[in-house]
Amino acid sequence: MTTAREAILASLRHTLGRGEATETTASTIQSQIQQHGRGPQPNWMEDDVSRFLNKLESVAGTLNRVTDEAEGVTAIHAYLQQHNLPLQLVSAKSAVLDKLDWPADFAVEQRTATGNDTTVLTEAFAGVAETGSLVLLSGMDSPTSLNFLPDNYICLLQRVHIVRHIEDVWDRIRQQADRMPRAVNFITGPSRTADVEQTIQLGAHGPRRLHLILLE
Amino acid sequence: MKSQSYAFSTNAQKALLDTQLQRALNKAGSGFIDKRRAALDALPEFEALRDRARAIKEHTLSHLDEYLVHFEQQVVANGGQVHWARTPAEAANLVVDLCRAANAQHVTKGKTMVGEEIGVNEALQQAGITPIETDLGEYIIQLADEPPSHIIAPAIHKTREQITALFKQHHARYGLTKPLETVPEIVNEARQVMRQEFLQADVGITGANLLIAETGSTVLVTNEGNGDLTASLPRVHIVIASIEKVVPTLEDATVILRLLARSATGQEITSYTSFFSGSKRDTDLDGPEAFHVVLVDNGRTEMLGNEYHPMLRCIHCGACLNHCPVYSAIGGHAYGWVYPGPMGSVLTPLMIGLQQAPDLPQASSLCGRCAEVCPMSIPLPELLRQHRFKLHAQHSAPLLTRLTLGAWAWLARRPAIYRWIMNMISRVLHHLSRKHGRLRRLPFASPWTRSRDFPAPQGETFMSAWAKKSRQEGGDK
Repeated sequence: MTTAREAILASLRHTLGRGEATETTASTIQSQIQQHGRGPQPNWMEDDVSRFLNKLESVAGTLNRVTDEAEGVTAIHAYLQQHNLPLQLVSAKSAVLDKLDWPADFAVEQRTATGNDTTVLTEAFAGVAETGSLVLLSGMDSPTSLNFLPDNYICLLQRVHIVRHIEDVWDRIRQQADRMPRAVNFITGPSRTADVEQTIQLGAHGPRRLHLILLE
Repeated sequence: MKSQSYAFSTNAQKALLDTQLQRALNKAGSGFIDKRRAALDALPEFEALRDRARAIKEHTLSHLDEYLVHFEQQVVANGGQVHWARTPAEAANLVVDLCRAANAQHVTKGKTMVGEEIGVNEALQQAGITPIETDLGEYIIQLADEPPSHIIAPAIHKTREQITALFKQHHARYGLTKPLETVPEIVNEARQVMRQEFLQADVGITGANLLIAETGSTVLVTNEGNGDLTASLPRVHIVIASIEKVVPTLEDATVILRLLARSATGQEITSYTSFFSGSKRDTDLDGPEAFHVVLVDNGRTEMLGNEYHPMLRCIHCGACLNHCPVYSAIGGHAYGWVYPGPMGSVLTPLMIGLQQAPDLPQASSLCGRCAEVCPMSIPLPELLRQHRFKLHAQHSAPLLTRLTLGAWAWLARRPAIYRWIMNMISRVLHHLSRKHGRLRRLPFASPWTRSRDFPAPQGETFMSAWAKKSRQEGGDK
């Protein structure tokens, strides 16, 4: 019995007018993939950092710019107080995040998220100036559940990790690994929906708030 | 999903008289159109991107077999599995089997139009598994037991009052006592109830906006974050995708993503754009242990070789629906199957048979706005005309329609007689209207005059007015 796979491929090859994939056709797609050429890209006048921050704010993100780790802790402290949130964080791990020196009244745990966590802290792999997106990669230090379950999402980004276009993220991922991580998440503002009468409402199923700590 | 497309005319009539639906459609107004316009005005590169996207798709389609095989190899290398299905039934059975094998009690689902196409919800229900729709719009219509009426805004036909009533009826079991009034209250109620579903799900089912051959990734575009919670929390993630969704590289996907959100909602990028590549790695702290992609053909291999080939470029952005005067007047349900609007009127006859949906190709004034706004440059009116040619050739149009068209075709090829007759009709109608400019009743045209007046001609045809004007101008010289 022919399997669905064989039937579909046979039908495609018949329509496209060739037999089994030949050396030459296979090398056409190989070279297309290896070249991975870029298409047209948006351009802008301002510098990439300003563009990134403006775009992030235009999608209801908020931010603090800090010069060192200590200032980052102060900013996070102020943010939690401002929104009446408990001084509890579930945190990802990273060289920078591990260096943060939390005050004694802070409860910080490094683990995956549960349904009860109010606030999360992660470090982004990149920020994209084109769109104001934060890019998060799944991995042993950065579980994906952190990006979606809690109500309040605080994300630290090192200024040097701001790239210009989406394609720059692909190049950086290719440089550091042979394969894509299980999940690559482009996060652009808090969760939103317009499913009730086309009225935009923040906080559908993902975080209600998104706050960036930009480490200069 | 059982098709009602054969009853398009009746359902369109009903839709026009449905006051709730008309209120909802009015409320939606030109929101999508205005936002798309603003997004395009801010991106001078749009036309260049459009050309590139079309070239990418055409290249991929001309090597579709090879890119699909490459995609499959990469999914396997990422620890996932690919399953192939020729028909909707095959695809739905695959999903049911995967859920059974996972011993699934709870299944969450992100929005998937191909899932609607293969009737996956019905199949799961027959197997005793009730999947929970997690996209708010999909959840609302699941409560209402209705199909989506728009490919990106499934509950666009519902007013806030109707949604409030649905929650009142169905959420008493979750302890909802007071009626929900505002949009934030409705969204919050859905959020609270859905949390539990996300956390207890064994299997999560999502669609895919794109597949990437280079990396074996499936791409998911959402605003709510429901798709990511569905993909990442359960033990098993199943992706349902049609075969034409594949593109060669991450860069190619990027080109299409730049067009997709702008054409759909006017956003530059949605809140969440996610790339899923296989199952949880050994060192990962979370993510699904199993990752499955179900590739659905359902007539697409056939389209590749015939005149409907350009339809395979469709990225399901919904721009053609939003800009269609017919869709805007009657909403999506009247079209009677999964895909409404211009793209639906092309696809539905191809997927369920032209005889099952003979009115859909006629449900268009061929005004051309759909082709104008299509980010993939699909000649939708031309494809609708192809359907009309077929209907005519198969003699499946009603006898009166065929005779009238035949007579018109005969006349149109004889300009002298045509002009003479048009001149007569024009004068007679003008006289009949007693110079009021409108006709309340007209023989053979009662379907028109029942609901509106017929504008009367001004007494002479364009051609004769033109000739007269030219003569006068010639005389003035």
